[in-house]
Amino acid sequence: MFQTLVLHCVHQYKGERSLSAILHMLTGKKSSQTFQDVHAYGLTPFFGIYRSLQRKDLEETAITLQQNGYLKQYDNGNPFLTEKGQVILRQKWNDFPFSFLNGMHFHYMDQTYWSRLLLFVQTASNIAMGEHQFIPVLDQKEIITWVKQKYQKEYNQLPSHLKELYDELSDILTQIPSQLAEMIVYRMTGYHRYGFSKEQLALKYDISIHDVTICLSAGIHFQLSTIVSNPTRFPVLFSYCKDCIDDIPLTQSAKKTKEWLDKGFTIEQICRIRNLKESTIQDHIVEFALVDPTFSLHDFVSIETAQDISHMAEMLNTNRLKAIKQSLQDKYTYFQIRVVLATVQKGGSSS
Amino acid sequence: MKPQTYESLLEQHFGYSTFREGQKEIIHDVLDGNDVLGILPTGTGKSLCYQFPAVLMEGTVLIISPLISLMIDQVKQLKQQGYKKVTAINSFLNVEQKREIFRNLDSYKLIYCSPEMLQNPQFLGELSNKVNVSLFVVDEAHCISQWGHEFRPDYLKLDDTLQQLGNPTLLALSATAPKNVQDDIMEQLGRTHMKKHIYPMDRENIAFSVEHVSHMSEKIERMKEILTSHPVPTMVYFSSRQWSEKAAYELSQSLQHLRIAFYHGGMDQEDRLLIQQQFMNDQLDVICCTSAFGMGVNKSNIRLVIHAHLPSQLESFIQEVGRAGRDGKQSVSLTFYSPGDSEIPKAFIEGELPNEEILHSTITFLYQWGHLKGNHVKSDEEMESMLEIGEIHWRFLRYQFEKHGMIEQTNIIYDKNRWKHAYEEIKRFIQERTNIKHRKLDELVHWLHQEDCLRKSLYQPFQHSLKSPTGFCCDRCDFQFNRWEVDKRQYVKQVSSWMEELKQICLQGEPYEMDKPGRTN
Ligand SMILES: [Zn+2]
Repeated sequence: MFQTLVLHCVHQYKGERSLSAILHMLTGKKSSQTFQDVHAYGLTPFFGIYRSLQRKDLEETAITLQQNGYLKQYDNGNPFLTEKGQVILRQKWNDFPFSFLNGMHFHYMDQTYWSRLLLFVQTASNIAMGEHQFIPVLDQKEIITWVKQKYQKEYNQLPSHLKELYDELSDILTQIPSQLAEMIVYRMTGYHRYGFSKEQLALKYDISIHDVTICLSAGIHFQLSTIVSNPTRFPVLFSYCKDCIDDIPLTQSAKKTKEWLDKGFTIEQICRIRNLKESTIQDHIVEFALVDPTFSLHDFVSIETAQDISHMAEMLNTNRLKAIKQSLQDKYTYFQIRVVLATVQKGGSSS
Repeated sequence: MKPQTYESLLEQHFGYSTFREGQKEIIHDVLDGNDVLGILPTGTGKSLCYQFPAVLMEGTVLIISPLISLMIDQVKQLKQQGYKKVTAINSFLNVEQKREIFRNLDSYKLIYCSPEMLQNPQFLGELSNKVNVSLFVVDEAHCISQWGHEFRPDYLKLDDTLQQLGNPTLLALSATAPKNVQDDIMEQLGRTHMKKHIYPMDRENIAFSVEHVSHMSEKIERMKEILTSHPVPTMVYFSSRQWSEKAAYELSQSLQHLRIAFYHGGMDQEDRLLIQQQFMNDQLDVICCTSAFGMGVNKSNIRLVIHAHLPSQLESFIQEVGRAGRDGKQSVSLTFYSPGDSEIPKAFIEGELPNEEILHSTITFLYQWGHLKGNHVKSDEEMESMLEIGEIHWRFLRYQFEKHGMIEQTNIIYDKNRWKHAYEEIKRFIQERTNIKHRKLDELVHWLHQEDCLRKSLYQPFQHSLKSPTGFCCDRCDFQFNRWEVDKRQYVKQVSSWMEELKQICLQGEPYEMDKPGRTN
């Protein structure tokens, strides 16, 4: 499954990006470049779905794929798919629950939601059984604080809360393949029953540990999209994630820039105020173009410019900035091209 | 405080009704203000020796601990028992968390930290200004002798720290320290008149067996036989992560009646915790692990500890074996040996300290890059990557260079004769340390080939007399696996749907039975 995903990423990047780009994408690196790439190459569902991925593991996988003849490298090191690789990708793609993944929407909240749920279920089932001493499966402070507050609210109705959790979770999990549902449930910890480690799940289903990680992400994302699209049907589970939802996933520094822009300052002024390079502020603006639905492109480029650029990108069928810039006789800056492409990729109109 | 009321305090604060061997004597002396060296075997509750005084004493108890994981485990356990005024200061905390802890430093009753942290001037300053340290504890004190001389020199600076903190009462604790290590501990701490409480470490309910085989595959076959006839809670020690994984896989393929998993330091924190807790919770029967597993493992019914690979010294072996049979029931230590097995720990010992080549190239580098080009010593990480050597090697060398006046702070001070002399001295020192380790390994290998009673020869270097075993002694005297009868109640493999599982987790459906067998994998 992980191998198939890597093949897919290589395919989407069209040989225009290195293996590092795949690493940054899967680990959810918060940089404007990665954000923009992910949109440009249609990889939004996979953004940040494997945050613990190590470079050496990705490299090992790439070597295996290369040995199998599925991918090769250009002279600059960028990987691309062979004919054989494309065939195997088409064959295998539908075997796996990739369609449940929605990294761009959920990467910033999936772990929070899932950790809260795991720890609360462990806490509630132990205390409901009269066991007040147990080793919590997680020790992140924010999660523990949240669970404590939740517990304060629920402590006199633990049995009914657990009942509702059971009803809602089983409702959701019956909608996905049973093996995936099983993995999700085996991962959970209850009274006198600690959940499976990733290694144990890998052994049980005879898959790699990378596959386990992606399966769990898929299972969690499916829960979230089901809950968020129908909060009245899943009120209890909704309470585990609703405070996370409204965040637009911007980098911290970009948020600052947005505040200044909203106050009416120009790029040059913000550079001076924040003592940052112009290119950094431009990166932030490209980020807004990608994720902020209220972003107004024409504060930064004219209508004609936007049309010119998007037209050329379409004609060339590429997102390579250099190619677009040259074909337009260097009439526009890289920033102008990036911000237009970003708006187009978000699905907005450039005219 | 009269001794007879200790028991009621114990019950009240810790929930035990009686002390274990040695605890009360040590606590008594500590509360009388005596410096104490306590050698208590693994699993006898060393930590109570300072946690109990903490309840009665004014001021704060400062505990020096070698491993972050150990500190975190202890703090977790205490908090779980409802004890809140406790903290561990370690390198995992970020600046904000550290500041928060420093600000409230005087509100803690127990503070855990590493010897390196004690050399942090800010921390030491806060400590001596704000906190009344009434008891200074060195946990796992054998580390002073074992590591202090090599790559954790801060262990040798504890005597200065004691003075800076106004000479509080000192308690040094260890599970395994033969006479020469005991002397070294006291000397390095600058308190040669400590009261010694040395308790015998022989365990009368553990029988010893050594089996000589020809190859790893034979070990695994033999384990399959034994675990089939004796399906008991078992730990199997391996020297590498790969082997722990491979063996867990092979064993679980043919032992369908047992729940088997592996554990090693390469797994992520969350998964390690799950495996550890499953084992404690009797959800797992057999755990294939490296030495990373064990610190803080407090499971009373481990019946069998197998060494598929050797540790590098008797002390580690005794500690690992000591995890069996904490409940006092008959348990067994089985060690496999095949020709060439001692090569693994030998290679480990050889690699632990830098060899002559590394020493030479490092000194050459310091001369050319430092002295000739006028550079200063950079951060440890930068030095390690420039020299392309490991963390432990660099730390060892840096300490040696400092000792010989070749480095002062970040300055490189060149003197041809002094450096020549230092080179020879460091080379000699490395050889000496390595020889000591080889000798320790030889002791262990020698033990494996004993023809006489294994129990007697194992504990001989540590104590004069032995308790008589409560059950079997060893395979040279009376033990054989087919004579050892165990409870053969086996887990029935249950196959239930995820829906059933979820029901149980959420406490839905039929009432949960306490002794229902756990899930299998
Ligand atoms: Zn014997």
